[in-house]
Amino acid sequence: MIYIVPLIWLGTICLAIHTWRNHPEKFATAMRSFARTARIFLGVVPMALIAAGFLSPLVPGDLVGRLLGETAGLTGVMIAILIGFCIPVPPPVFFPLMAVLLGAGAGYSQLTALIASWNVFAAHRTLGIELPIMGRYFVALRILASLAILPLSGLIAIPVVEWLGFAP
Amino acid sequence: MQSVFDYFRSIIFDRLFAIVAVIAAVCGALLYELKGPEEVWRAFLSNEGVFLLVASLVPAALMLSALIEVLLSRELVEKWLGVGSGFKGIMLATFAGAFVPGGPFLCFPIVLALYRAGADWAPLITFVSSWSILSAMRIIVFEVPFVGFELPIVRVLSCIWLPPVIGLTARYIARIWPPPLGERDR
Repeated sequence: MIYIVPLIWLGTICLAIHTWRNHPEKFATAMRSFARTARIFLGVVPMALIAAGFLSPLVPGDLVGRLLGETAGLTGVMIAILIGFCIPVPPPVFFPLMAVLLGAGAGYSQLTALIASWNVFAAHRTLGIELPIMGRYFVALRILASLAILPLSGLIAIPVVEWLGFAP
Repeated sequence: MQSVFDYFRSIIFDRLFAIVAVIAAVCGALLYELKGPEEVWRAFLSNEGVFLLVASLVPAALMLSALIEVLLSRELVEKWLGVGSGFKGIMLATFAGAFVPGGPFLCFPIVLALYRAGADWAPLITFVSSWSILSAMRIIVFEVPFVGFELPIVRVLSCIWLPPVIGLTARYIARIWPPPLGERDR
């Protein structure tokens, strides 16, 4: 699976040369936007990794395993959805946290539900950006529709994990 | 030279960076108190592999997403989402949501424009859901470096059907509970 790294590099370089030759002004815009987003990876991400490394040995593994482990089943999925609802942090902080939970014994199906729930509700994005732009009715409709469907994502993940034969 | 200095200063003087740094300091101090200095050093070094993966994968993925963002015109995305609310429209909305890179400030203005133009609920909510759950760039840039390949594979396989179903459910709910008058003229 590590072969994906050179593949992505190859695709990026080809696309960069194409853009640079055919649309020089668009290439400059892209590089400026690249420099802007790269800041997150020079600052927040390394710091979040260090924080996650320090947090990992402090997290009680047996508790995480009991609440979110593979044996927790439907209850684990519902707990995961609740936890996902309560973590209003952006991706550079959220995914190191997922790595901590994974290391502490959380199961793939429970984390699938947790990440789906965080994606759908993500309070920092929903309240800060979506609500002012789209209005109350749109957000309420989207969240109501998602609420009804979300538990199924974790339940479907249980046979998917078995079928793939993955174990965290 | 000045601009390089400003660039690095903007990294350090960032609210999120400050919050995460405080959390790291608190966790580090707690770990030192509870388990001693060797454990702190071991926890610090435990991320070596992740650092390498981030350093090798993320620059390419970020540049790729920036390039796709400038090449993909807003008109094209609007055309994909405007196909209608049939099977094809909903499939295109799922596809567009998964592969259109860019943050919420790019996504929501497009959705708002189509919303005002009277597009159906199903493709719009399918697009927003797909963009938030299945976004390929977010998986490559943030998810793979931290949690490896297995969790994203499980996640995509078990969530790929979610956005269309959420979109169709939203349309059903909108029928029972119609929007207030003048909602689309906001």
